[in-house]
Amino acid sequence: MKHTSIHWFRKGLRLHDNPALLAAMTDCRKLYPIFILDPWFPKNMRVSVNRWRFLVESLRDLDESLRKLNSRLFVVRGRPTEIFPGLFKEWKVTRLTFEVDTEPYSRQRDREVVRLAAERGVQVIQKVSNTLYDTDRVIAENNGKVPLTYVRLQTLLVALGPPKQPVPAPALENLKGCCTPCKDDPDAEYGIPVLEELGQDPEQAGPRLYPGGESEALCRLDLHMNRTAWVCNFQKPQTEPNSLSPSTTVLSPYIKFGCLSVRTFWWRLAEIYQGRKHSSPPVSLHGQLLWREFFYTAGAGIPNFDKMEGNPVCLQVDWDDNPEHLRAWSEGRTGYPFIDAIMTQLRTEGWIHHLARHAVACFLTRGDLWISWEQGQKVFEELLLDADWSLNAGNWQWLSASAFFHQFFRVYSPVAFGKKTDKGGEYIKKYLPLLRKFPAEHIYEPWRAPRSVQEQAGCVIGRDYPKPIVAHEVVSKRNVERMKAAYARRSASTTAQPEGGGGKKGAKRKPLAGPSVAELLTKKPKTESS
Amino acid sequence: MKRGRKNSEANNSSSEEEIGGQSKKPKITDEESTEISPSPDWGNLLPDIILQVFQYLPLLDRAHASQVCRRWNQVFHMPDLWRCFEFELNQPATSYLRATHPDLINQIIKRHSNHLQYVSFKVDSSKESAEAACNILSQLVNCSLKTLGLISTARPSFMDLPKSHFISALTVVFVNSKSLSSLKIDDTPVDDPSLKVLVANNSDTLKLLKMSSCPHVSPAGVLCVADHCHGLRELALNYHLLSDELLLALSSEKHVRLEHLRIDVVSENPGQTHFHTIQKSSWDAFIKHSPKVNLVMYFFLYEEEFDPFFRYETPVTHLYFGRSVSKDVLGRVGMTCPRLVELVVCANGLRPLDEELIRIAERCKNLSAIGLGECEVSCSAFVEFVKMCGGRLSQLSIMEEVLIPDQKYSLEQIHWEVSKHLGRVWFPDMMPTW
Repeated sequence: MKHTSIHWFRKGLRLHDNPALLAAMTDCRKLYPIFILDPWFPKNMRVSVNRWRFLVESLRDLDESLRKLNSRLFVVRGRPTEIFPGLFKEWKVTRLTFEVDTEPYSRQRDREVVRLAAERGVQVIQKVSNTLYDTDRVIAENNGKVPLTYVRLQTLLVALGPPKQPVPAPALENLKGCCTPCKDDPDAEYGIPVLEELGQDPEQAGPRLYPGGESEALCRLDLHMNRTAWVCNFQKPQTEPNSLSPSTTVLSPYIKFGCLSVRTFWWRLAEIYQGRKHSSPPVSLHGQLLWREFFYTAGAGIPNFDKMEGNPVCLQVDWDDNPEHLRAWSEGRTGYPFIDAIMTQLRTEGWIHHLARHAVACFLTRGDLWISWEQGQKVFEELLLDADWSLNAGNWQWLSASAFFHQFFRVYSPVAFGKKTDKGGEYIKKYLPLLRKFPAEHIYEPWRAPRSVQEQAGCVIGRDYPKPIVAHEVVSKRNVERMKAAYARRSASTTAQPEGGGGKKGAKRKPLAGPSVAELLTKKPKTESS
Repeated sequence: MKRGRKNSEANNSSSEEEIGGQSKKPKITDEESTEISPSPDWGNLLPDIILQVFQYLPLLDRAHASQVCRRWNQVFHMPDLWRCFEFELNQPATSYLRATHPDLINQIIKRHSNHLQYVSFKVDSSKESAEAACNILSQLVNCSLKTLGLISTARPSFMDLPKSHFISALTVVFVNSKSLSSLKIDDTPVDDPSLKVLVANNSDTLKLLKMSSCPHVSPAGVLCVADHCHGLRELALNYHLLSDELLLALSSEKHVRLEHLRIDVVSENPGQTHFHTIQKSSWDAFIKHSPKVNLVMYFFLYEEEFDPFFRYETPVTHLYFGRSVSKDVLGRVGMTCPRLVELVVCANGLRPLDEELIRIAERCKNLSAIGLGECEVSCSAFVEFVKMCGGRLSQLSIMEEVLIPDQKYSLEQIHWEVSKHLGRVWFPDMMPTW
């Protein structure tokens, strides 16, 4: 039977290593490659203009590549569950293909779509290609439990063997006998969106350091893979967080959107490693991909993975709620130049080195401000080009010592840490130009500089640049105690301790002295303060 | 439980149960009862049984159970179930977590304050929460508390209160309880006079006192506690309160053996704090009196402030360096801390700690736990260290970036070598690469 197939691009914005796309093309008469733009997202989710731009560029690139195959990309506006029935009918679709996405929101949406398809006799084919391995398989291999250490994951993967080989990009042959109706709708209804449509102002976007799309991804991959020695010797912790241009590959945004296949990347590295001495996981480039795998597996198997409450692996901590401090951190005005420079780079460029992420994440949570990692997660979600749900949640928990990692004595000093790799503070000067004239000895702690030095630098602390919002020495000590208490509470048994109460004033039911204790204990849903 | 079951049915089988007691239900061979009683009458169990069961339930479940019937409700309010309570005081507008409902607080004060024995207050950063805690404390007039804990979960909000307000609330408890055994009042404005009141009323029973970061207390105030509370087993305070007299008082014949002494050595502005010295003889007397004591010291000092410390044999068992500490000081630690059991170094510098670690392995024969944060150690020295300590190292927390590969060992090999000497599989601690 010759199918009319829809291939639904969500992540996986690429033609290479896309088994679901190839499946769509098999025995196919008509092919509709689509991307669904759900207007809910630009309206309700905080996403930086930089990331929208990356997405738009990726879609444009995908469309261009498809046109070379006499096809095109249809960008359909609407909610998937609402528009699929219409599309199935209008295009007389018999088959739907897409890449598996393990995030909870996606799973729910996909379940619903599969149901709609079944109702209309549309065959659904899902393929794993966003991760190196099938996460469900990995969890099954571990007796139904999520591996909670990197080492455990490595052991499991050894048993499973190397990841599958990537499949090649479709060529014109794959599309023999198949066509995409390009004549209908000359870029009107289903065209690539522009930033304005998404409610974004292109003027606000930062410098275009990382253009989106598969072509750019493969180009960058080639560039880095040609540096054979660098690849073999790569040890991520030895790279610098505050070099003036990135010291690592910055392939992460391309991997997040699926412009670059992780399997392709993996096997290119394997080729280079072959017969040569090279670094190993966790620090090597292969190791990076395994970290991503680790967090994807965790995200797939742990309920409420992006929250503290209801998350079985997450330490329950009395985080402070301080919107003032949170804003200062988010906007790069904590008074600690190293932290502020990093947050500035993040906001304007959308990418920061992983050690920079460690420093600011630790500062926000257990190191200094004692604010919940969920808040930090939201900010990163908004600003990072490579913000990936599973990785974001997992890394924030790791850095705040809430899960996976418990050695909370290892705190990143907002003053000393950056000095190790950039004594002169060049990175700070680049992103916080108003501190440019501070001498190296004071630039990490400008509030300690004598007034005369500040005047000479044209930047007085407290007037032109903020004073530190907390004193690291004072708060870090207190925070260590808090972490200890949180851990101690975790190991204390729950049966003997009475729980504190909730906040709902129930309707008066019993005549016994007003609302019952049960009502007074029932949790009231927390209202989000905007 | 089905509410449909009538009380008359319950009465038939109730007599059996009351006689029969807990576990066994007598066989239904009774000719008087022709119907087969399908299930026991839960509403009429002995109160003691219900009480036992309730003690296993968390408060919320107990509260739900209390709504089932009158008998269960009565049991719910029995004193035994109201011995422990943790008051959680947060401001709803800003807090992350639930707070104890004010009506519940009132109910407890009205009906159960004289049952309370083990009480704690968890308070967030806001002054209002600390005030609320004090209000409750002031009303605990009928209480005979055994345990009281004031816990600041973020900023020390008790310090924001007018001192007199706090002291008078606390004094209510001190005066009324008379049998306080455990008191945790870190980060509060407690002062010497209030400690005197504590002592005057609770000297026979006080076993644990934690008062780190209490700036209004003086060495004389703590000394008063040590002089009179001879049952004190656990004490936590800041270094400025430690004195030779205190150590001697804790070691007097009348005093029990101390189990746990925690000392926080904190400096908030470099060069501004002057640290006095303690005589070696005081430490010696202290250890002689309490040979098994855990001496826990937390250091939050700037590198240049360590001068007075580790100059002679110090009986510390758990040592925690919260900020950067120099190679030199770590070298002295190796020379002067033979009782050392646990060592945590958050940060050092960029020069390898090879010699210092090896010396510690040599001379601290009781060391069983070590954690290294931002430090550097060459792989060979590290392997040597582990070899010397062997299996006694039950905790070895080394961040992976600490280990510097050298000619003999690379990062991969090291985990095998170390595992071999430890007798179990070991890996350094990793940070994910984001």
